[in-house]
Amino acid sequence: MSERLGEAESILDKKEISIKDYKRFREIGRLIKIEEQLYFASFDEALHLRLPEIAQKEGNWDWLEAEDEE
Amino acid sequence: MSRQTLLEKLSLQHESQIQRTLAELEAQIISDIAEHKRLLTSEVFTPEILRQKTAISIQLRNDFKKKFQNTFLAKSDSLIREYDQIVSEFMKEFGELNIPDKFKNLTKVDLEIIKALKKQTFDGFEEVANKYLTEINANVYQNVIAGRSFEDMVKDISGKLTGLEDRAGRPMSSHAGQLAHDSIMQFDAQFVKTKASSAGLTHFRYAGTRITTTREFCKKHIGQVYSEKKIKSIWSNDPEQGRSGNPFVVRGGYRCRHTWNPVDKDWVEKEEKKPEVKPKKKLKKNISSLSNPIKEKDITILPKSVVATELTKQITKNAKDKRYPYDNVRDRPVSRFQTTNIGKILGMDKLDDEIATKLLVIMQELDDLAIKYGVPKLRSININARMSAIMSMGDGNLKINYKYFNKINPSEKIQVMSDVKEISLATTFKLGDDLSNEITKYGKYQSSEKIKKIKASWKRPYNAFYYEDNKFDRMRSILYHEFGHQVHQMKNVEWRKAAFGYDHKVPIENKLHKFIPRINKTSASRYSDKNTQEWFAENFSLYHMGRKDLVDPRFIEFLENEVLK
Repeated sequence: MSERLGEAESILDKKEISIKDYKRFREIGRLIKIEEQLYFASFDEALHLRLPEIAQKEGNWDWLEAEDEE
Repeated sequence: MSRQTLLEKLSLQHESQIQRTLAELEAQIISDIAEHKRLLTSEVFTPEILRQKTAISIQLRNDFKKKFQNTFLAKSDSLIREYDQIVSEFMKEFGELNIPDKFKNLTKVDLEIIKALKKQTFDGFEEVANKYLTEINANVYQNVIAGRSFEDMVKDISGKLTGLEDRAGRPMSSHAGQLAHDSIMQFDAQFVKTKASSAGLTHFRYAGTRITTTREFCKKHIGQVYSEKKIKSIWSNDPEQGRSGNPFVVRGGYRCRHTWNPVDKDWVEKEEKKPEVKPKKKLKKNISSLSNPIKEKDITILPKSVVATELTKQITKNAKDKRYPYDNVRDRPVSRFQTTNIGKILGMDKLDDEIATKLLVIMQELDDLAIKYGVPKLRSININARMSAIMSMGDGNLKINYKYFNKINPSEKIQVMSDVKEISLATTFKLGDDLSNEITKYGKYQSSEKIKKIKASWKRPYNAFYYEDNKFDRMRSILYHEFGHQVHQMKNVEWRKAAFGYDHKVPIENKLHKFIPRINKTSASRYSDKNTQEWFAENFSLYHMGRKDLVDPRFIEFLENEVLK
């Protein structure tokens, strides 16, 4: 398992997630190897559920990266 | 990006940018008042104090005016500059019509028209700014003279700028938000009509999609092609058309999202010669339900255009469920996930016919699940390949990543749903097997030896869908998993209107966290260990896929005692 996948998982496991964590998670997603896509795909699904948590802290949705835009 | 998509995107972006700018303006105005708080709220009324209060009020007027110019009007100006994108998209579409080449480029006259239309739009924003500036100035002056408290002044200013509609009068945010939307659509309408007329085009199609708030009047005309004469006749005689004026500009009324698109002369001639075709009787195909799910071999593959029509009907109807709240201030359905395509399906063209048909089939089963669990049915689908997730769910809005499903997809070599190692684990694992040595956290391991050790420790497949022996049932399992999220998010959810948007309580999620404070390898997939929500969704999927032998007994206990009771 790559260090990146471990880092993505540790972001997801945080009790409180910030915009900085989100941006890092997205950066990792763009670098993830194809053979690790299987695991990252599930991390991404779980991260989606936490987006409102970040929006509530930020007071807006301007920080969304292309992966999450409509 | 099509012009229609661009218009929708710009409308949403501009509206939200205007709202943010007004919030910023409000903060600046309140900060100005706060600077003179002591004098302005003084209840001493000596001539000297009154003179000072009047002087400050006059100074504040000038300050407010500058702030309106530097925030709201500056933002309006920058947004209007983006209208050039609309012109560019329209010219691409216009260039594909069968018209003489000389009309396919922008002329000097066109540029003058664009300039005039932009000026007209800016005047509209300026008018709104002046109206509210005057009201705020008058209000501040009256409050200062009366010696009202600082809190009351703030409340009045907020009410006028970003407040709720049920306060006295309509706040600027609501007015300007609508203006931001309608200005884009009217700019487009006026420019399109001018270009079409100059090229001698006389027929137009009423274009756009249906959403939950689409007016009955618009529904009747979407997709129809009319001559200009006919349009004028319909628009002046139909009582359902609620806004008077030029039909090419007003279309369905305020906040209308529909456009008039010019149609080729060739098309009109061909259409006029076409004999009337009687609609064929519909054949009932691919019927499926939760209690009697269809098997892959019994599915008849339909063209995705047919699937799109059926799914659109289903989603449009589902989105009208009153359990999904509607934000009257922002004039849109509420979603904690800021979903903008509610009531719609985006990206249907990205799926191949087979996957589209299978989605349609399983969507019937998801509607059954909604009834069983007393939650609203799914209200939007967004199909794209931007995210890494296979699918995701948020407040009844489903996202699907087509790259994992389509068969005709030569650029992708991802085998997410057919990993040999994971499939093999699914064939051997049984609930109750010893999992004490299984390593499920990835950590920062890098050496190939350590990776081998981790992989060798696995007893369970990563996802519950690996327990299915064919790709169709894996897709079904994933959709059931996503619906599990719909259940814990939406079951008995309480929405409460707040100053800005909605607050909510999610009773099932709260109970879930208490019931399973810590997950420790109790389920049949490694992903269930991620958190309580994924634990719920993974077990929910296994439960409804008929794999109760693999469902965590604690899940059944929770489902029966807390969700289904």
